[in-house]
Amino acid sequence: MQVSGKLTNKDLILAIKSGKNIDEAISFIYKTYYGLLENIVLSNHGNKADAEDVIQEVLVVFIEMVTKDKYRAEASIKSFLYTLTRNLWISEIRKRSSAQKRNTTYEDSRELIEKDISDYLVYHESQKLIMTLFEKLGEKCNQILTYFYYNNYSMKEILEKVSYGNEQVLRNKKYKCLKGLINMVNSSPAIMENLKTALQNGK
Amino acid sequence: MENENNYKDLELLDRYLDGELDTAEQRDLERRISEDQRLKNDLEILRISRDAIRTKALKEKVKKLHQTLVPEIRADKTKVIPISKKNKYIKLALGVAASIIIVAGSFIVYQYSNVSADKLYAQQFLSYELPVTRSNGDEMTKIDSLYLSGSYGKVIEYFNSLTQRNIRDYFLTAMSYLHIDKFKEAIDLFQHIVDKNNAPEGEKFFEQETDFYLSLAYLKVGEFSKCKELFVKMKANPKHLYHKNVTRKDIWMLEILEKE
Repeated sequence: MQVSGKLTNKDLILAIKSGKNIDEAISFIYKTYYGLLENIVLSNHGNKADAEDVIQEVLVVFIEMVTKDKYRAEASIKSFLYTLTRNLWISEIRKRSSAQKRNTTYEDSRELIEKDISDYLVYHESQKLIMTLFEKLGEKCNQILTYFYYNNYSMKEILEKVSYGNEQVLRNKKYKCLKGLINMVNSSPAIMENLKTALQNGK
Repeated sequence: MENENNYKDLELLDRYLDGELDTAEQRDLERRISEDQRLKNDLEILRISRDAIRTKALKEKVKKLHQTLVPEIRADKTKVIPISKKNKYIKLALGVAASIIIVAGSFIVYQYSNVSADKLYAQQFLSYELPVTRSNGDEMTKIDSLYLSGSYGKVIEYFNSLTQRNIRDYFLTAMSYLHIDKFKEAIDLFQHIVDKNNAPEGEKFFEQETDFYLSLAYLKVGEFSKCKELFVKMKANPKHLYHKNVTRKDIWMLEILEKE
């Protein structure tokens, strides 16, 4: 994959927000910051495999935060990614040693960016739990719901990709899948508790 | 039947989140949401679930790109700079150096990569200003002006020609050695200042500045234990000039370096 030239912070944010050049944006971030981010993990009792996992998550959270206008333009992307990586890695270390929950980790921090990131990570934690449940719905549901919510395909476009007779059948299938997911979430006290915290944090 | 009704509500909530309801439908749904805790709950779960579905797809995309990009990055790295153990030390050492130089209270960004850490290190030293303490009355001494003009070689030359040297001469010359990356020579002169300041009689000059810059010089030559000792000293004293420049994490990193 080729990254054409050096992207400015602004270019990068625009590429992510527009959703059109997301691959290029990811590629640029990797080529520019991977070493820096990897070192945060390596210098804090982590190995290369840990760094790979954390950095992938950093990219996901960063893109989401940019898309949702949770990224403050006054922070450079480098600083933001640095803080995000450090927070995710510290949180992972704590998880491994079964210490405190993430949402209490940074409550004393005065840094607004730290607070934004910390709050978002509580929300992201809920998302991760829901993602696990989502996988349990089965391949068909995964595929349909991804087409609807990630690819933003229309009913017609989805019908061309999956073997359902008509729009009504597809619509029923969509809501059946969603209902299944909601029921699983509702019966998971861990997710509900985490979700409550995330919503209280202003998400 | 119940299922169908549930789907109906679910579809309404889904369309609500997509902004597809007309004004009357929206008003009606919002009223119901405010009165019905279960419906409100379902709305929140639906909202985060839709988000989680997108996140999962994004995660897969990143994973796919990661698998292509990381081998490329690693291949590039090994082509240009072979990573030896020593190199790793330098990278970590420069990372610590960068972190303590940044002004306290500002948003701290570590410059872990070789090039950027070096750049930051150099930037901080160039911006170093002469302390306002005086040695020979109010006039600026020759060594001061040489130092201020950035003629570090000349500072050293002048220092070597002196028959009588005060602590300020030692300090500025040690700083000059730091500027030109002669860390061992800098350490010798800083150490002389420490010895002088430790003597029972006489005033103390540049004591805290020496703690800071001597620790950086130790860092550069890989004397991590000595560097750590000074870091701990600065961190332990809230009144120390450089107290805020040292973080617990820096000390932790030095401990890692010591062990390796």
